[in-house]
Amino acid sequence: MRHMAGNISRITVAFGLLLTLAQQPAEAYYGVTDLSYTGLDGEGGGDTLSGFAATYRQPWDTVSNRWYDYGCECYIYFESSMGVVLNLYRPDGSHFGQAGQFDMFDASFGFSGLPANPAGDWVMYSDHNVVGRTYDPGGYYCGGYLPCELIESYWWSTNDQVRTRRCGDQRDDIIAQYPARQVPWTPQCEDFTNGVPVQSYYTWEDWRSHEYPWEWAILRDYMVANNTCIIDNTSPYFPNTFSSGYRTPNKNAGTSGAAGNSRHMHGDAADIYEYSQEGWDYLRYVAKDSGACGFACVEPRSMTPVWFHHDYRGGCPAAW
Amino acid sequence: MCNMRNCVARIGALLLFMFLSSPAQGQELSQVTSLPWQDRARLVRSVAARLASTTPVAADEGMKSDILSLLAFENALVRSLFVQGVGTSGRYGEGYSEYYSSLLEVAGVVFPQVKGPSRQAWLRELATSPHNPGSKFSDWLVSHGDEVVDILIAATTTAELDHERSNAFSDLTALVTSTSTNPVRARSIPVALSAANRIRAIATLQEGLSRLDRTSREIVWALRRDPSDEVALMLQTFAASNRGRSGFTSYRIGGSQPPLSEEVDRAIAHVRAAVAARPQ
Repeated sequence: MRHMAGNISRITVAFGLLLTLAQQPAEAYYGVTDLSYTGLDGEGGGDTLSGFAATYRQPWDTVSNRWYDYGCECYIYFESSMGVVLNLYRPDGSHFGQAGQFDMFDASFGFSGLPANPAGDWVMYSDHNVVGRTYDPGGYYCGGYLPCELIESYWWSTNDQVRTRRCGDQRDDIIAQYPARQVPWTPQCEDFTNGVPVQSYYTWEDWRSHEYPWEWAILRDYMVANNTCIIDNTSPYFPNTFSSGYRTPNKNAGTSGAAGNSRHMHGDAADIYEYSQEGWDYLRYVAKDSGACGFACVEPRSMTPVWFHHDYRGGCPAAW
Repeated sequence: MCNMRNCVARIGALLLFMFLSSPAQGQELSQVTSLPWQDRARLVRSVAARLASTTPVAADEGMKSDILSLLAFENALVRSLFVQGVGTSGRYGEGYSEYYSSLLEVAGVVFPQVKGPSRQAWLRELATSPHNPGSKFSDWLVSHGDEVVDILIAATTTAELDHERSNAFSDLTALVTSTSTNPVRARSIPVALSAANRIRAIATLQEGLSRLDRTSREIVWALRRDPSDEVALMLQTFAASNRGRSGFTSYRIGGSQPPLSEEVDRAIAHVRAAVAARPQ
């Protein structure tokens, strides 16, 4: 059993400390670099855990003339949460496995049997609110023991996710939400923007659905441009009130009944409030039929009497 | 047609059928009897996959009947939540809309296997189902020509909700324009409509146009969608006979759209341009 230091507001755990905590022979632990954790004592806000995770490859065992098959492991550590369920996802977003721990204090558990070369973005996601919660998790790490060989260092951070450092900023954390929420698509760094990409009557805050603390969002320029065109064509007749733009997977999951693969997470959808039948009809005509503002997929009014959903996914559902 | 209460029993039977014929999902039976829409969606996707498989499943009479019942149940649910001002998306999210669309696709696969008088019951339910004018589903519905014309004409006056009646006008317009001579837009599915039925359909459209309200506008938009010489003439005749009438040329107080005359003029220009650009 290895565990992290206690519940303190700022912890810096050096590689050496982890080595001494490990049950395995210290010399077998490989690849750990500085690990630091900034917590807020369960008062909410952003816990930050940074240090390492790893991509491994298994070396060739020259004695037995085979690949080592001990596998590598990822572990989660937490300090005083009242129960944790940890899910591990493969780089393609598929679910690798789940582990749960419902005891409290200093528990640890993990996954073994990772493939020989688990390169890519393995994502761990924990819901530490499953049973209850007293404090944020203490930390996570992916570790391995020889013969697992570290070939790439990771950065990992935030409350609930572990992922590779790819974009080097908040985008990593948003991207990690996609496989964790089982969205069948994972964006790349370049899919994001930190401002409205083209002219719009709506603010950056509107477009990112006022979701803090994220400073990034996926906003397809053609969607924003078509939205602006729709407003240009309809605003002489009625006011348009913005309802929803980009949603992160976590935001989407908190939106009542939202589709698991909502286009709002793809950055090519927007909603406009419109209560009147006439106004709604005209929005539909301009967005879908007129050809002046692209050819949107529009959710039928029967389903959305108080707002107008339009997206640009390409092939629309048959009735849209 | 069925109301929400008596549909539940039929849907239970449908779901049981689906489970029994899909052993891999039998273990989830207990979840389904409670009928949350997500379970219905999962099962409809499962049925869709089986119907589309390399060895497609032929729907027996019970299955056909149960799918129709499920469609009627969902339509009643959609209407009920619309009238409450919530909508299925407000209550269940946009995922419901996508589920509903997949249900329509399943209905579209099963319907050709439906024989006899029950085809009319299917088409009545489908004609008033939630869909957008000009959608793929609308095209499919219209492709039934003579078989659906009476249902659409009736729905323009008897459909329960305003937008359902409006959709019926749009679909009826598409039925007429799809049988125009030499249309610009080629249709993948040929439409058979007798001369007598076409005359009746046009008469209904003329009545709708004469209202000079949102119904007229929907018909104009639908005409614009399918350019042809006949459509250009219809629009020009409509414009000529109404020019100067207040409901045609002026903004309606409290209205949310430009004057109808502007829409008609734009539609005429669009149709003329499309006809002129048509390969000879």
